[in-house]
Amino acid sequence: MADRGGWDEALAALAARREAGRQLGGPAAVERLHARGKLTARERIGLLFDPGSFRELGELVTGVVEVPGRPDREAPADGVVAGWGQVEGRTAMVVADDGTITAGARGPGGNRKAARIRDLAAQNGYPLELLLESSANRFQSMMGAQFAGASGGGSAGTSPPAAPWQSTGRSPVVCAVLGTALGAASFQTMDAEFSTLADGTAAMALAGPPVVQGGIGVEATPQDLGSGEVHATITGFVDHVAPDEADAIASVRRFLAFFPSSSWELPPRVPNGDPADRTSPELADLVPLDHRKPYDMGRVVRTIVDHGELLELRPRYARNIIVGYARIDGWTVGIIANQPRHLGGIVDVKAVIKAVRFAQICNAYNIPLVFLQDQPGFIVGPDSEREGALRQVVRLMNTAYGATVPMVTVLVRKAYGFSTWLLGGRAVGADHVVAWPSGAISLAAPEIGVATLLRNELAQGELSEERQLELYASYRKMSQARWAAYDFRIDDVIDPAHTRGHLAAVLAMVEGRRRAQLRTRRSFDTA
Amino acid sequence: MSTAAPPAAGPPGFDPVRLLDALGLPVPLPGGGLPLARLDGGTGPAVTVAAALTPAARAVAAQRGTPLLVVVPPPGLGPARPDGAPARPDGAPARPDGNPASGVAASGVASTGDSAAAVGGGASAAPILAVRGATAGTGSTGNGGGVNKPWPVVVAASSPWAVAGADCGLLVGEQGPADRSGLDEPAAADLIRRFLDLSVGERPVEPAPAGPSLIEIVPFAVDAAYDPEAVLAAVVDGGRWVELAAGAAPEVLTVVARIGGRPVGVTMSRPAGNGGLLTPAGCARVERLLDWCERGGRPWVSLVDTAGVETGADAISQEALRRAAARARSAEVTKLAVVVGRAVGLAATVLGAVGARADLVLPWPRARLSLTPPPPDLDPAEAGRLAAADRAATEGDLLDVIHPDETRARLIELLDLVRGRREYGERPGVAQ
Repeated sequence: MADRGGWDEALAALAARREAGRQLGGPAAVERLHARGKLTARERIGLLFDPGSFRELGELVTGVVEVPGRPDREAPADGVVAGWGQVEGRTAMVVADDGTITAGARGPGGNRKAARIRDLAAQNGYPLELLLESSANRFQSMMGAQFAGASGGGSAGTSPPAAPWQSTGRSPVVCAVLGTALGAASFQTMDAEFSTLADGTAAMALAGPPVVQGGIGVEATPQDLGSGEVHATITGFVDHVAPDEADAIASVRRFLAFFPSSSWELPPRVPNGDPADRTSPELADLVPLDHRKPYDMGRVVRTIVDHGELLELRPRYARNIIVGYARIDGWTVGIIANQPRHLGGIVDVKAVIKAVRFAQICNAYNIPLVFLQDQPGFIVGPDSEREGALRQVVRLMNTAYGATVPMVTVLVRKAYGFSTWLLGGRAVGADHVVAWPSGAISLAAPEIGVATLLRNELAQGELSEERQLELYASYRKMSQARWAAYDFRIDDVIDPAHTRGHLAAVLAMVEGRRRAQLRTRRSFDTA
Repeated sequence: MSTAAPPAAGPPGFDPVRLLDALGLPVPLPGGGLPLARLDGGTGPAVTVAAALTPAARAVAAQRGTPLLVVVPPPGLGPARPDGAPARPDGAPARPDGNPASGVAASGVASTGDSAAAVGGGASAAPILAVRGATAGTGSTGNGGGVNKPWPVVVAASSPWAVAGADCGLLVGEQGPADRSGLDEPAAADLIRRFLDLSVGERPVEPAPAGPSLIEIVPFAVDAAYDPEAVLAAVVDGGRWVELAAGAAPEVLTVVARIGGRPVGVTMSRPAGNGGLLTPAGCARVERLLDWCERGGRPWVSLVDTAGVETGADAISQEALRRAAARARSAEVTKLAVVVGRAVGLAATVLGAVGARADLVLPWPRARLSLTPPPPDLDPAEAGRLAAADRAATEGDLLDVIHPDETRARLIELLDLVRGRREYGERPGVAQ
């Protein structure tokens, strides 16, 4: 009685369409992509998700590439491969541009697909991974008045688009720039909770070479406009500039392992066999007592955290400050640490920009902040004033005072100036502040204190060198962190070797407060 | 809602004692308040027992984390107490003045369940149901939900107008607007047991019964007849369901079932006869199921095959349709639709397939989606091509077309994925 014939034909047509979608732009196009050191959308997704966990949506979507004077061409999957899968067993959604079709530009069907995935991720609290090749709309489908109704990347068709910023601080958006990201793709990357870019084969800019040529008559390649080097060292826009695509995608997996699926959850705690009470006697040797001697704070951080694993963000931008994700006793933490090896760990404008964004993201996702302080204060002088130091310092102040996530601070060596307050001070509500015996706290370094207070005497040569040294010594003694502990202006002075165990205990203590704060949304800005 | 007067003389109502006995609840029990007891002689799920559907009874059941079983005594057996605690189903007078008739009369004209509970007035009646195994309360239903989680309500009443609140989970009555009527006590008890089994807590996945491929059951031609209940049986766990509003409208089946171990509300079109044309009564049925889904935060799964609506031009039926469509659109539940056959016009919205903000819509290859039935002057082949599901999937409006035999597996997978309105709560900031 059943009409098997009809079924067979329809199911065969379906299977054929699926197969076409799997082939993307065809073997020749795939080969061209590979020759340029790139992977296809499906290969990238294969690296992103746990093996066999990818479930595709919109496989049947098929676009039409129309170019005047050429025959129409089918665009399998319409330039976008999308769906969901598991990263370390946790669900995440993906939208991957397909570089084998019109260089990764999409048609309207591909846009609808991408918008639907984006909505599903946002509505259900899953991370959204955007593997960006271009993410642009196919030029021809945007020519003319169609452009007016185009959506910016949110819900397609029936409703106004959701601006990307609407989802900041809700569920993470992760962007891997694997082609030339212009327009929407670069905006999304700027907004992303984590971004990575494959050096050499990818670039990111506001406008591409043709527009630059037409606009200001300058010849520039995409690499000139926004190479990995540019974003790693000059703009600091990309969290992790990767040597290749595989490393870029691996960094996405590393990031997601630290992160909660949405701000409605706590980050997963992953016990990893590194004992909470592991002592590190070597820490005392790492840090010279002479405040002017540099050392590598990165080594201090890696000595303290689980298995020495730190996912450092923007490592080549504002190298005088370290920010990144790590675990302590399995708890995800955001580390903010001054790096005395560069500029003496001074807090300059770029350092503030780097720290503010990181602190805001940690705050939005209930990730406790751990500060390791060793800083001479904010940078001063005409250059930094012209760079807008004041605005950035006030941004840091507002971020620090507004943060509700637990903050724990270890005063490693010197903590001079107002910046000490703003980067984990009790004044801005740090939950716990401890110092090593090497710690010194003061409004200013002794030399600056003397120079300011005894300005006239110094100018008139009334202070002998001997007297100056005496004064420095006395200020230095007054600055010792133990005095602050004696009258409970800080919580304790601890043996550096026990820093890890101490932090682990405090993190367990503040767990309840983090739970209580779930489901309050804290968004972040994109600067 | 109805303020209809009670029938002058109807069949004798449920005997509460016999119903409780059939449920395996110990009768009579000493004790008071809203008793907490387990079905089946202490081996079944725990329930809170009340004699009227009152806010107080709901609150107590929610706090305990049990379903609420309301056994409304029929007229003549005494009214409920103001707090909804059971009165004496043995027929003894409930009021201190010893005049059962006063309570009965008041109960009979009550317009809502809650006020029905409030009219008794007497507070001194010796409660006959009491707690047994009370300490086994909260966790015993196999669901770890907190106090804010809505729990299923079962109302067994011989006077439906006494519990006309439409939101109860299952309304077993003698007559009138009940989910099932005309059952004797053992049959009612069996239905209640099955309903609780399907609606409380999560369970391990139970496979659907093995059967022939759905493409053997459903012909490819979109207007050919098939057995919708066979399709439903292949989709839900164990092929088991309890029907809500049974028999109310033949074109749509509304049931409580489990898919992948998770309680869900399912609507299933029955295209036989009139092509599944949706009537105002069918709209009401769908809304009733959405009530159940929304109250308990249950996903709504809709298997759609409707050729449109069968409403007159009259304002009342138009309004019913419009309201049901708005309801389907606005319901804050997970919505998954499978387009089994036709999805036409506003009826497709009422059933969740088009324009109802479904989380995902999965058509079968035979599905046809269209705003109107095909115009008579259009070539049927062309009409079919325009409305075909794979066209919508090709253009990116629908994200997939599935093999009918994949339906159950895909639903299980998607119920897992689309947790939004269930676990993630609000719909954060996304315009829809």
